[in-house]
Amino acid sequence: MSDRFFDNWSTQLRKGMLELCILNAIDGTRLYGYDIVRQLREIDALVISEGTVYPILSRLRREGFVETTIEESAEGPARKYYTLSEKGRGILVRMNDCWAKIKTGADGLRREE
Amino acid sequence: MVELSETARKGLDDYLRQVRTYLRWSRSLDRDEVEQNIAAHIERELEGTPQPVSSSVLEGVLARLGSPRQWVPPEALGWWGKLIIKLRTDSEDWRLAYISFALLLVGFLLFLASPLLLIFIAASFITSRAALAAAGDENLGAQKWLLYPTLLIVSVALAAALLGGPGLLAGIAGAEMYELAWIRRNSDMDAFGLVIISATLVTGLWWMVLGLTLCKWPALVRGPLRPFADRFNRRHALAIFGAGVLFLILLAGFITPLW
Repeated sequence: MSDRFFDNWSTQLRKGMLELCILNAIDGTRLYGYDIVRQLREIDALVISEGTVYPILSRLRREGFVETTIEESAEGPARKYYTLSEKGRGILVRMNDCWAKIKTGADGLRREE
Repeated sequence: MVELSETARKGLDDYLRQVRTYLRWSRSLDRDEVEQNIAAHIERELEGTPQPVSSSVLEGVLARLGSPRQWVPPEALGWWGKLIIKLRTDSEDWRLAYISFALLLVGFLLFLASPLLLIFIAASFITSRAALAAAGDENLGAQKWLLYPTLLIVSVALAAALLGGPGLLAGIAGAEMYELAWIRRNSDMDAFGLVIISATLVTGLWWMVLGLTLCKWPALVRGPLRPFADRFNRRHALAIFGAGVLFLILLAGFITPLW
């Protein structure tokens, strides 16, 4: 029972955090999908299935938060690069502020053991 | 381009085929874009791997990518797509529960006043029992809401038939018999009285036989009326027997002054 509760809770948490982490990963740089996945992979327990990153990138592009450019590659399929749009930069500042407040508040509730 | 072995190629084709199946139910997602993302990811992940890439290596990459279903997130699906995908991908026992409930619903909506309703209820009952056996009582969870309506209807009907069937038949037979002239000649009892007496007499006798039989083999009732009669035991069987005896005593008290 407690395992199921934890699984549900961590799934919900990851869903929200993935969007924030993706936007932070491409802030000030341009990356293609696989590189974003590789960076997120480093964060323990954040990415359970790497394929979940791509639908989020597509949604962020449709929402206008990220922009894409496609470049042909001699080594394989064309690479799609993601960059943060002006609108994306604005939402990212707000998301980071919001997350910082939540994290500070949540940490403040924890009692030292 | 990364070169795949034949079995790895088949594995990738199968994965892409499944992704396309889910994409069919989404209006907002670009099918080509999704396939390009998958191809580009696999290409990058397998760079530097000895070629042709074996199926076991590719399976590892696909496992990390996750199930084909996740390429189509729920928000990209309409309600119809969500329903179809749920039916296609949920575990077998849930599908049986959906089918069972759908059969019951369709039966009542389309054939309420037709004998065909019985066929739908029977099919729904069989599917419900299969789902019950597949999931097990402990793991039914919310499936109960889909399975229990049919099971309850059939259980109540079976229990009613078991307890009152012979009495009802006797009552009907009594009503028919009353039409016979020799009954009228030999008794001044009216039709209603004869029906009641016949039904009570046969019901009392039947309940006594039934009670004694179930006292010996209580599982006879537990099986057909699962899960509602799981706690049925000898004490309940004795209660049925006692009720049969009581019927006969009451009948004797009622009938004796008439004769």
